[in-house]
Amino acid sequence: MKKLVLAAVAALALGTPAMAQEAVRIATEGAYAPWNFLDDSGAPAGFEIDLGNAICEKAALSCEWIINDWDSIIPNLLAGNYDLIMAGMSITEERLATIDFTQNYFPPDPSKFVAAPGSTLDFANLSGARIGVQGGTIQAAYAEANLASGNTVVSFTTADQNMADLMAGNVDTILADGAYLEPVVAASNGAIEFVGEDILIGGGVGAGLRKDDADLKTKIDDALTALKADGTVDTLIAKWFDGKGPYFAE
Amino acid sequence: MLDDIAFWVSYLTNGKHLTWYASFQFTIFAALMGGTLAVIFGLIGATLKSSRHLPLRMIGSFYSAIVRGVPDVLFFLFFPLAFEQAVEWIVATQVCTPETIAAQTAPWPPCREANWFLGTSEYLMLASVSLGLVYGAFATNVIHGAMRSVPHGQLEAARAYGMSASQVLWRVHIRQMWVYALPGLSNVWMLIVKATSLLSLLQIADIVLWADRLGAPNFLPAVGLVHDDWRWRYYLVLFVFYILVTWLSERAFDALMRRTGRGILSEARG
Repeated sequence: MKKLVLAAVAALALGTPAMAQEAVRIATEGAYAPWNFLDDSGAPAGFEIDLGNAICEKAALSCEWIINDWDSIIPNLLAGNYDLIMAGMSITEERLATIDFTQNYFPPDPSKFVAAPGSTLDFANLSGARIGVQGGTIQAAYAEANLASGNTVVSFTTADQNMADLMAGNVDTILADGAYLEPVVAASNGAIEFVGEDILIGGGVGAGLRKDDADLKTKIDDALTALKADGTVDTLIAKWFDGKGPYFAE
Repeated sequence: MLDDIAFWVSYLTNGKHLTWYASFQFTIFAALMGGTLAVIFGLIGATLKSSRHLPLRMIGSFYSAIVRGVPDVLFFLFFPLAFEQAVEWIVATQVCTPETIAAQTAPWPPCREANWFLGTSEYLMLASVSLGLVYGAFATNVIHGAMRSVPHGQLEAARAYGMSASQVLWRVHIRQMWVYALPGLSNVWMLIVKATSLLSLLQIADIVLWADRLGAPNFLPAVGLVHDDWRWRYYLVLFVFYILVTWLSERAFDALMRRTGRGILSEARG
C-alpha cells in the first residue's frame, strides 16, 4: 500500500511518463537556420520542422516540438525527455554506438570552410589558424583529429556564436556543414566567402532515436520512404536550401 | 521617418522580442525567491551557529564556512543535477521492476519510468533554491553578527520585565537585529541579483540567452531581420535593467532601514 501511494505521488509529481506514449516528442536545437530555427514569433520553423510535421501527418502520429541545446541533445534523448531528434544531425559511426538513426532525409553533404574576404590562410598546409567549430559536431571531431596540431580549434555551443566570432575576427575560419553555410554565404553580400577544399564527412542527416524504439523507427522510416517517393522531401529541400536537389526522386 | 518608427516598433514587438521581455519574469522571480530563501536559510544558519548544542553549532558553522567558499556557478550546476538524480534514485527504488531495468539502455536513470523531466518551472525552483543555499551562507554570517550586536542591556531589560525566552528572542532580539543586519543583507541581495544572470546555465531561456540569440548576426531573410552582430546592443539593455534594479533596491533598503530603525536608539543607524 505504502509503495502504491508513493508510486502514485511520484507519478503525479513527475507528469506520468507512461501517458505521454501517444504523442511523439521531437527535439530540435532551434539555432541552425535553415534546418531549424525560431521564427519571428518565437516558434520553431525550418526544413526539419516542415519535414517532421509531414512525417507525423503521414504516419498518423501527433507530434510536439521541444527545443533543446545541442550539447545535451543526445543525453536527454537517452534519458527519455523526448523520442526523436531532428536537428541537422549527421549519421556517424560514433553516434550509432549510442543511438539509432532513421534513413537519411538529407544526402551526405560536404563540410566547407568559410572566412572573411581576403583570407590568406593556406589550406593545403594549415597552421597557426584559429578554426571555429560547433562543439559536438562531426566537424568538431574532424578538426580535433586532423587540424588540432599547429592550429587552435575553438568550440562554440551554437552556430550563431561561431558566426558572430568570425565576424568579430576572433576566429580565422569556420568549418561547418555546406548546406548550412551556402545560404548564409549567398545572403552575406560578400562578407563571408568559401575558402579551401571541401571535406566529405558524415553519412547524411537522419532523425536520431533510442535503440530500443524499433516501433517508432519503422513508422518514421516508412513515412520517409513514402515522402521521398512522392517528392515531398525534395520539394522541402528545394524550398529551404535555395533550389538544391532533387536527391530522392525516382 | 514615420516608416522607420513603425518598422522599429514592429521589430521590437515581434514574437521573439515579446518572448525576451517575458523572460524577465524568470530573472525577477529567481531573485525574489532566492532572496527570500537566503534570509530564511540565514536565520536558520545563525540560530544553529549560536545554538547551545555543539553538533548544531557545528552544522551552522560548517554551512556558512563551506558553502560560502564554493563558487556560485559550480553550486548552480551541482545542486540541481544532484537533486534531480537523488529524486530519480528514490523514485527508482519504488517504480522500477527488473524488466524495466533490463529494458533501459541509457546509463541513467535505472529505468525509464523513474525519469524526471525538468522543465523551465522545475529548473527555476531549483535555481532559486541554489541561490538561497549559496547566499544563505553569507546571510548566516551577517545575521549571526547582527544578533551579537544587539546591546546586551536591551535583552536584560526585556528579561527583567518578565518576558519568556521566546518573547525576548522574537520581540526584542530579532526585532532589533535587523538594524544591524540590513546593510550586510543589502550586499547579499545585490550579489543574488547579479547571480540571476546564470539562469541560462540551467536551460532556462532567460534574458541573457535571448539577448545572445537576438543579437547574433543573421543573414537569412526567412529567419527574420537581416543584421550584423548586434549582441552588444542587447547586452546594453541588460546593463540598463540591472542598473535599474540596483537603484530600486537601494531605495527599498533605505525605506526598510528607516522602518526597522523606528523607535530604536542606536549608533547602528548612523
